[in-house]
Amino acid sequence: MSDNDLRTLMRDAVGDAPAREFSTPVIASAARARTRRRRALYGVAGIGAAASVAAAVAIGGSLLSSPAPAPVAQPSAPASAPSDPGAIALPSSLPVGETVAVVDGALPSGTSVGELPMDAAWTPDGTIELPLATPSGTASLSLSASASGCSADSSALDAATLDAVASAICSAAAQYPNQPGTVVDGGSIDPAA
Amino acid sequence: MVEDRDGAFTEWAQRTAQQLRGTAYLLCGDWHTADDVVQDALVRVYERWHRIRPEAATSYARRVVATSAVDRSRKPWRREVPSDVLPDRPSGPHDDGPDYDVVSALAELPSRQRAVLVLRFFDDLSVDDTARVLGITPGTVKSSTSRGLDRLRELMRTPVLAGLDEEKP
Repeated sequence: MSDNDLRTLMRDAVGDAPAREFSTPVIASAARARTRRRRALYGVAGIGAAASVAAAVAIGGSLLSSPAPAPVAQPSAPASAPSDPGAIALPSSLPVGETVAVVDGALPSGTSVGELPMDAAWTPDGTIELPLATPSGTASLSLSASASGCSADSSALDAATLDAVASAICSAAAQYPNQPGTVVDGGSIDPAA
Repeated sequence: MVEDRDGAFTEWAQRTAQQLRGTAYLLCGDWHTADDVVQDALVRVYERWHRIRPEAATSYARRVVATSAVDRSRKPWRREVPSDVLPDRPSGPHDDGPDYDVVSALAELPSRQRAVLVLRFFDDLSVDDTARVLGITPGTVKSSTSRGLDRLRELMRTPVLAGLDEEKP
């Protein structure tokens, strides 16, 4: 048994593997299904967040208006928003919830975004810090998104993963009219972010 | 465009999938779970195929396989549960041979030690590459290798593994 070392033992153990083919159409189909599930999740999360904002605005408005039925100053809508007063306010830039989902989707298995602090938000200059939970402990992930591109930085992730995260954030941010953390309405940060 | 991408992906997957299956099997201990883990890794690589280089794809897929296997072993519903009835074993302890085969012995190790040994001795990764794949330090790789080999020797009761941990990184 001269070749009876760990390498040989391991190779022998997998040597009688039952045959299995991984077909590209099946893989592609599974990838599309995963993408659909993720988009559905974003959609549900986005609608939930928008509904919460609309409800909060409605309750706030009714409380302010009940003592005296005077006209109440309403925050002006972003230029791209519809003027229908009953419409749900859609986020005009990448919300934090979707940011987390996008980052999670680009992270390797075993690593995920950790518990967010209460004040987690995109800053007006387009940066955000997210906590990471990795197999070896916690870490931090810095994201930056601007018109010139996106970047991600973390000591816990390798360059390929950081590229994937940055690219995913750029793709997600491009779905919105404004860059993440864009200041609208003369000084207030986009409430959807 | 999609055909180009699928063609290149298929070529890469054909080269890589069998080695990934072996890694996953040694980490998970059964072929069904191993195939699930590998399929998941291939799906993730496919999603990112246009953004990563083929050589990085292999490293990424290996990382997905290793961390998925570690993850699965940490899920509460996948942990071992106490039982009054011991399962049948093909053979009991003998003085003239190993108590365990290598897969059963690996299954007895903590998940990180198992992953380190499989990546180092089945995938032939260096200490640094193993550390990168698992997101741990090279020092942890070395100590996990040493402890894992000690435990494997104990489980397999065979001297053939002696000296493996003295290898250079």
